[in-house]
Amino acid sequence: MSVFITGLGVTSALGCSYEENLAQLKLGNSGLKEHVLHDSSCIMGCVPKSNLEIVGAFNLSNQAYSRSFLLGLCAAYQARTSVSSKLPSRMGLIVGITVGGMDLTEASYQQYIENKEKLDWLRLRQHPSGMVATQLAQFLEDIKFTNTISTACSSGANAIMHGAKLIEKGKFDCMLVGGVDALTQFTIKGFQSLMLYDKQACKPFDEARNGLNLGEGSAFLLLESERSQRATGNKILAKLVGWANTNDAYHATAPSPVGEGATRAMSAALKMAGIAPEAIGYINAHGTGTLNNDLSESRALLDVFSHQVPPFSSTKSFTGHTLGAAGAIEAAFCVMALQQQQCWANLNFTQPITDTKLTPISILKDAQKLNFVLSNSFGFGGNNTSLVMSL
Amino acid sequence: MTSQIISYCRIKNDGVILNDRPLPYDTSSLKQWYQGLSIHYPKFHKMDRYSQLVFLGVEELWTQIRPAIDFEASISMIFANSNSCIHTDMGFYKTLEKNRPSPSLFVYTLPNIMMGELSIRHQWKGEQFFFILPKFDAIFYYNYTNLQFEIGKKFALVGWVEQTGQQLDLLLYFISNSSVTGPISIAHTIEELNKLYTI
Repeated sequence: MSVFITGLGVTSALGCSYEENLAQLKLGNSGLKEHVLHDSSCIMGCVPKSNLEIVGAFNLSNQAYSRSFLLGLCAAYQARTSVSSKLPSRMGLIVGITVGGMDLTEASYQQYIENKEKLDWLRLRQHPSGMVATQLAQFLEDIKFTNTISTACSSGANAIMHGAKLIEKGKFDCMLVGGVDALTQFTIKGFQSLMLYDKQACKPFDEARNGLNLGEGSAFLLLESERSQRATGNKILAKLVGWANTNDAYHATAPSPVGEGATRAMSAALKMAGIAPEAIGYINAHGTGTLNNDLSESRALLDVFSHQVPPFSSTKSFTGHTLGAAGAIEAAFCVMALQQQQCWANLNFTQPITDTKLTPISILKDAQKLNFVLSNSFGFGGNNTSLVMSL
Repeated sequence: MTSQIISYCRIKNDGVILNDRPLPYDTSSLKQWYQGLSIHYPKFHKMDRYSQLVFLGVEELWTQIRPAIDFEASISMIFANSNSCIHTDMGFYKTLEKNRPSPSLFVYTLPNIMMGELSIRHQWKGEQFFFILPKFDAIFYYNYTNLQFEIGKKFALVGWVEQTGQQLDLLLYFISNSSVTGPISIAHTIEELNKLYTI
């Protein structure tokens, strides 16, 4: 049973299309910059397109839209239209997300407090996480089923896994799956309050790492069953061959220090793919840049790959941590890696973590023969997801 | 094998009912309830009120059946409510307004943290779900729990866990799809689930 990835759309700090993201990954240019959000200035990964530009590009009606919806629309529309042939008339849509339309709520609330403007119900109605999927389904054709997954930083990967399961069980032949999140005060100040936000650009897997930077963005993959792909003849970009989700049962926000759940997630995904660990040619790590994550993920990598860890990197050094979108954006980067036969760099790295001594790829690396790649996404609550993709 | 509800706990503002018997606790003082359980679990005091509520309810119903259940058993958790953890979200937002965002509240602005707390306490590593539903839906719970049993799971902890403002509406129940029995035995049917909810 194969699940084919035939379409792809990405929007991140690196740009608003597949090509733009790919170009920056190849050049090794980070999208992380100093920006101001409301009253605070910090390093974040902002998508280089304003809400107005996106509304204009899609000819949307003149009302306020949440940035999550607009970013999601860019990526979902790209994925939907990146294939030329007609798709099955029954498609499902799964969105991984954490903040929903909170950016719009925050702005509306601020206006309400400052100007005593009447609260605009149409804006607040976009607050719930599930609203983005509803809005996307209204805009895109043929969506007959929507679902929203919110499991913190593993949301995007879980959305992909859920879509793949629905195809595997024969419930749908074609699924649009991915993740999206916009930047909000709520999350930026929340991570700052947890002392997890680096004042400089994040340094994943570095001994001197000091936290994460948040980013915004979205990615969607078009998944098709074998039957659907035979009928549509769409080009297969990659196959999704293994997935697993596990629970740490260790701490509310910190990962298990030995990476127990992460080890089980990677092992189970490899087992499902039916491959030995050495078959993996590149790992797109979760690598947030926080003290806890990178150490425990390194330990888990050593565990699973018995000290023969394949080339790995965290592309959060390019995009920032995009929360609900991260798993999807990184899955998209994995598809690009397979397509290009290249492994993306881990920026800002100088010195390996003393305990684990793992060195990520710090510059773009051409692969000899990249057949299988692994993508990790670990979230608050001890929720770990690993995806295995192949050519 | 027919599945049975073998322990349940119903929590509302006017009191707590454990397996048909009222408990002598006032839901306005969770600390007192915690002390009544005579357990030592310092993490409890760090949790938000919502996680504390669910924690206490699960502690009560689990104490009744724990000895009968194999430590290694996989326990699926199926939870839902209609407002996620809005109570804590609003609490965190108040601290944002004062420009002193509370890290402890921020952590709990995700419902899967509450489930994570239960996993940590009981070392449950089975399947877990938290759904957002318009209202308590016995049919949904019934079908979803049976799906778990169809894929070979033996036990499920199911809950409707709603806290909006000061309003509490929680129903937690444990279902066995094995020979393991508990202090009560209620057939796992849609009718019985609706009856439990109206207690």
